[in-house]
Amino acid sequence: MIYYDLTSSMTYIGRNPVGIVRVEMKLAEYILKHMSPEEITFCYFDLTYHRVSYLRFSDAQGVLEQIGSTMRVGTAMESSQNNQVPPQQNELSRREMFWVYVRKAKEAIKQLLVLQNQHHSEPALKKCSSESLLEPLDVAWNENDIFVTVGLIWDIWPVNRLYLARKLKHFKVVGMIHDMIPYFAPEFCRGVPPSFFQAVVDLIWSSSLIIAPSLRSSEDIQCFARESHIPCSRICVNMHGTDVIHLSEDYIPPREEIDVSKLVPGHFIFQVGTMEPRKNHQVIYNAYRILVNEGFQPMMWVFVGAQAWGCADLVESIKLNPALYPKYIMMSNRVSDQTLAWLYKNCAFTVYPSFYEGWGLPVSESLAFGKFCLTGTNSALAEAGSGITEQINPFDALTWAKILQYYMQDPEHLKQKEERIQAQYKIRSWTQSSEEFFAHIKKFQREG
Amino acid sequence: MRALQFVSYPFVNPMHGGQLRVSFMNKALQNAGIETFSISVFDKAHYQEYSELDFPIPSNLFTYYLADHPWDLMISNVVANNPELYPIFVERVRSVNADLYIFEHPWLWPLMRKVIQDYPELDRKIVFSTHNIEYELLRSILQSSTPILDKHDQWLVSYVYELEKELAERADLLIACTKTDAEMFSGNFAVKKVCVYANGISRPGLIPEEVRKKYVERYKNLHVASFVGSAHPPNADGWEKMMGKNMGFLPPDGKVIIMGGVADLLRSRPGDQRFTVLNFSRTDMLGRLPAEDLNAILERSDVILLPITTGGGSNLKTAEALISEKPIISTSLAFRGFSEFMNYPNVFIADNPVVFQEKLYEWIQNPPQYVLSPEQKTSLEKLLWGNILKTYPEEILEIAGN
Repeated sequence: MIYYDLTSSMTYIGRNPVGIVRVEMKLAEYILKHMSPEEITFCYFDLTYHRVSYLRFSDAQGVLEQIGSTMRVGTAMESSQNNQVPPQQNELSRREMFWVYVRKAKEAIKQLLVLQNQHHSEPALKKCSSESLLEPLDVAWNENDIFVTVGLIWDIWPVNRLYLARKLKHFKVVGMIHDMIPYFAPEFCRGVPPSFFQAVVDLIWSSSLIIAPSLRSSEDIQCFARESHIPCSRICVNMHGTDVIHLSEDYIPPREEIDVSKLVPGHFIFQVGTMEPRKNHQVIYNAYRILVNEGFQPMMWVFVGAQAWGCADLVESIKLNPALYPKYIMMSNRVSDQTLAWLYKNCAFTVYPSFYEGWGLPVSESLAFGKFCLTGTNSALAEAGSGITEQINPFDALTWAKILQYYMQDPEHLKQKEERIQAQYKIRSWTQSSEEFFAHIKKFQREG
Repeated sequence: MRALQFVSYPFVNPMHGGQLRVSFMNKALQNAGIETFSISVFDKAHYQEYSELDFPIPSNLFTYYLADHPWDLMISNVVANNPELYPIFVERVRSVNADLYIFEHPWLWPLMRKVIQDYPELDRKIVFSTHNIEYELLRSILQSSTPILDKHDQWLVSYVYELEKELAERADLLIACTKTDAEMFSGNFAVKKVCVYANGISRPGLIPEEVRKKYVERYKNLHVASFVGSAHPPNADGWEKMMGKNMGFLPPDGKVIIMGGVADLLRSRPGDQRFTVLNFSRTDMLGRLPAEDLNAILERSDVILLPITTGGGSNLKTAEALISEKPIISTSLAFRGFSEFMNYPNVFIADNPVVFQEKLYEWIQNPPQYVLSPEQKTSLEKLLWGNILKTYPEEILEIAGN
């Protein structure tokens, strides 16, 4: 039996999912459509009782339905197909049950953090009780079972207890580690939970197979394990999927999301992603300052994404710059999947100058929409770009300015790029990605 | 025969290495019929238990000196320059009417130098009982934070050097902890006589069953190593150097139990904060513990660690680890004074942190199997204080002229 961990999704009920939770959800959607309860069971770590609990397929479907109000690119097309699990009857009480779970989970996390802090400050003798420091997780799994986790394990899972249980009962653990950015680029990682490294290290120790979303992430994980002297088991790569929403011809993004009356289709550049230092909106802003100072009139730069840490000054600076804002820059915090698709579809090209990515979903999304993308020269961006994007040093605003100007002035060249994407880029859907993911696991299950 | 010890800490309830050494040396003299007295001068805030003759000093008197100078160096000045304390101190020295003075560390020598200058009738034969080469230790501590010492730090090091030199040359007998220390003192200073008495230990006492059970239960699913150290900065430096910034090399069920004041020191050092939770998950910082708890934990440990990378003298913890006959992973420095035991089958020496960690990773999960030969066991007996200090009272009596 495969046990698929849905803990992260459960804690995101009623919230917009972050990228990692979205991956967990996409794989769960695949399970619901293509696998049977005889081969796979949904489970989660119940913080209220500190034990592993299980979900029926119908309950798992209920969890997915209650996460966020907007799934980004992809959901609409896939869910319109005919494999949907029927809506459940007793939905209200189940929803209530999940909210109770979420509330308790949050309280438990808070308590955990308080305890963790106390643990390091209390006088030694007080806390030195005779209680065992580590108990194995109580699960009835055996050597034929595989536990699969792809979520935010550091938030909830006691991975060290999982490790002990695995040693005793000999089941296998397959874990996805999405990136090692907090290790290789910590300067971009404010707000990483203090338990991140313990959970990742314990997962490496526990896993018989580790799955990474890109070759670069896989190399990063191996490098981290090598430098930390952690024995790292088998590791394989399963790239994320991308799905394209097919919009109706007459779709116009609502004004409260973005004012498209100021946009000329085919005459704006587009960037999507949380606004934070790692995503490097700064270099595009600087490039625009250079271009405008030189008298060039650039296309509108539209960027969409929630404002996270370290961007307040940049937003302030943009708003204080009448030469650029609002004439050449348009910002939006939150848009629907449909509007996002509209922006991809109607932009001239996209930019993604990030300093570090475990994969770089906006790059593959851009290509899936047939749009050329300019990216940073680092991490997994080359892989996400499949050799069809153009890479520029993310520190070098002068070069960005030069190349932005080049593509803005040369629609013919941009057209050639799009033709190349059309000819060469193979869209990898989430269904394909999930199929391969479980193929890795089944192969591993067969080989033992 | 009356001997008076001058110490910079009380040793009524000896916990750290220095206290234990002073205490055992004191007992060795008493057992030989020598009347012993001690005057300890120390910051009152640091020790709660002390004896009648001891000299606890209110912390506020140190404030002026502490800004720029290590505490030990300034004790003498605090008393010598205080018009109220100094006469009391003199009277205490006078009241003992000792035949011989024993200086544990050089720190109280400047004070007694003044006493002897002011009151020549209080001059006596002197034994300088060294615990380290203090100027070298101070230099390495200072250099661990700033490799190139500024003028102030250079002055401090040379001050301690001059202090040690003066007392070593003035003393009628110098006692060193190791042969290396003895060679340094006799090679560089005009020392009259040197004896080496290594640091020793006493056999661990009986462990009450409930204490043993407590730790067996606490660590029941775990592989455990232990590290015992006082709040002496080199202990924390050595730990940080040999363990690295990230203890992920230990499996999730591997823990190092950290006992003694070094635990407080390590808690107060942030290190690379990204790994704080990870590193805490691989350690159990118990801090200061009663002897029976400490012995129960050592008994439960799969491995004992001695990650000492700076400092002089010989390490009592090394002797305690050896007498336990447990697997030991150590730096070569921690075996200073115990080199004859380095080739024992339960001892692994590594000065390279990666090699140290690899062996810990290996031994904590699969402790080595070995049997010590009868000769090896007999050699371990030499580590006991009783055997080490056999000739010490004779030397003291000889110096005192009795």
